[in-house]
Amino acid sequence: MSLSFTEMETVYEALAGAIDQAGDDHAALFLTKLALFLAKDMENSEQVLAAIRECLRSLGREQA
Amino acid sequence: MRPKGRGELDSLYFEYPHFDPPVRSAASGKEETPVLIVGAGPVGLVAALTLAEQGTKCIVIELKDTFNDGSRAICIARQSYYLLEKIGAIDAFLKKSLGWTMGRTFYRGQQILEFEMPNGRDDKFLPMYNLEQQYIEQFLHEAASRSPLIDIRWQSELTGLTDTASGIVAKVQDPTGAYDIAAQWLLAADGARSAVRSMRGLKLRGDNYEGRYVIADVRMNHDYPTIRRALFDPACLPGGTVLIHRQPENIWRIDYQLAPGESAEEATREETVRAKVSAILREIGHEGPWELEWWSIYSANTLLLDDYRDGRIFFIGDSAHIVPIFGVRGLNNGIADAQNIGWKLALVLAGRAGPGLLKSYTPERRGATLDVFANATKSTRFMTPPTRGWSLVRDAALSLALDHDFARPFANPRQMMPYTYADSPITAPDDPGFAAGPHPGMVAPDVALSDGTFLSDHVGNGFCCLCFAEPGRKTDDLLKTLSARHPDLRVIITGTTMTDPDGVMARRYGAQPGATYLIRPDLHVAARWTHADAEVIADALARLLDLKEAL
Repeated sequence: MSLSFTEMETVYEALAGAIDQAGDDHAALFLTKLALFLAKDMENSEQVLAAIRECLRSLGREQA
Repeated sequence: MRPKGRGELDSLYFEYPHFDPPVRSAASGKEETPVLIVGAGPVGLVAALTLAEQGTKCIVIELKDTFNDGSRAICIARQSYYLLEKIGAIDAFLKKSLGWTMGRTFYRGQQILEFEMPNGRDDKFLPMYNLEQQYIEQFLHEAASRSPLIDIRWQSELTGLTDTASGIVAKVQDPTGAYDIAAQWLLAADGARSAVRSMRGLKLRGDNYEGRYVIADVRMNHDYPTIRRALFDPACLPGGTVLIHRQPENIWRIDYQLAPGESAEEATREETVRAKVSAILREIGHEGPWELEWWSIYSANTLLLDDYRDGRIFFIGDSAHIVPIFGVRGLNNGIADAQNIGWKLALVLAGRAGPGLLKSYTPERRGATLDVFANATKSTRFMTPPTRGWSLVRDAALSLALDHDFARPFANPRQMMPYTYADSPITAPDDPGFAAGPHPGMVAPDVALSDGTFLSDHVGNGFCCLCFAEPGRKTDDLLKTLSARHPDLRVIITGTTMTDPDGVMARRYGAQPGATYLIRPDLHVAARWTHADAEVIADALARLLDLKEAL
């Protein structure tokens, strides 16, 4: 069961607020903690590794 | 602003007319009018035309001697087209404007989303039309000039307001001198810097957002359909956002975000604007020549009055509310304000409604503004993220949207549907017997009829009662009772005065035989019943109109 768009919007807004609350110094640490925390409830590590590969894509500007 | 060497009204494509002040006899003394409208912009003129369509005279005073400079508001929504049709102005709009249904969103040069706005065969008009504001004003002015009930006075400044027992006395100054106009009601359609508002000591309240945009119109031969384009983090404006809209006359609207810390003075210098626009045009593949027509600067605000009414004065349009551009609700809500107070005032002035009807104006139209704010806050946070947190989440959603469907809806601008007057004092409680169809307060959906016309062509300009015929039930009594109690009420009975052979209308209205909808002059549903006697319907309308016979 994946989240509805309305639920995703709630997550979006909560994440924005939490990153601001963590502050510039701790934003990366906070987000990494969040990823690990969410990973513990996944069915297997391969799901997490696949998500890591997906999220590594398109990080920078594509060279034209 | 316009390029060096060109005046504020030197447009590449539009000839601004010059309007003389009114010719008044020196002995005219104090004039009287049922309604005085301050401001001959689009909102003031829609109000004048709405009053005229209902048979009410008005005087419109306007400080300037021509239309507003620059093209400003350019997107007119479907519901506004219905209202423009009611006031007899639609033909020129349909002929000139560019309709559209689709938007495309790009992230770092790649398309991540293509959205279609709701549009079906039952909709008489497209979801959105692009038209420069000068044409909007010109077409409304042409329609107003055709009406003997509308008296527009250019170069006429409001210099004072006094309350009286029966209305307002306005002091007016024009090049020939000063005089008074006594009006029973006044509509303030004098824009964001409303003189009426400051004379009354009223203030808009709300929030200002950080994100600022330059809006620029350019003329070019550019081959792209009328599709709204949004570019996030394009190479020509790293970290920024660009919006592109096509307008008639080969004019293109380019909105682009200012960099954080960039001053308004620097951003609006002609050289700066030319450089930015040039880079944007290269990015969208336009290699040919282009000319700069006009530009301005804009920042997102959510500001409104606590009450849209002050005694005998009603505030309509930007004088009452300033909304962010991203929902394209500034002009569209102004048109709806003007229509809303227009039909209500006309009925009250004609003695066909009691003054209590006017109490519904603020809750309905201020409610619509608050609804825009709620949606605009979301889209503004997406278009111009206010903090690092909002910016990172936005960028993450855009980056994911390159490859994943789930993230794409975040980039949908959610251009708004008409507001539902759910909390209005003149919206009846719903009949729980309905399983579908529009609730009271919603806009009545249009229906394409088998003869090629639409339901909206038949509802008339006043209240309309839409009855779904019941086999075996005599409709003569229904008609007789309703027309005796409400001579102006238009009654449509399916199967009798209108055919609905395939039951399309019944389906759209969730209507079983015997159901009745009461539809307002602005096409919102006032009440509905699964079964109702003529007396029940007549009573409901009388209550809504604050007619004494209802007591």
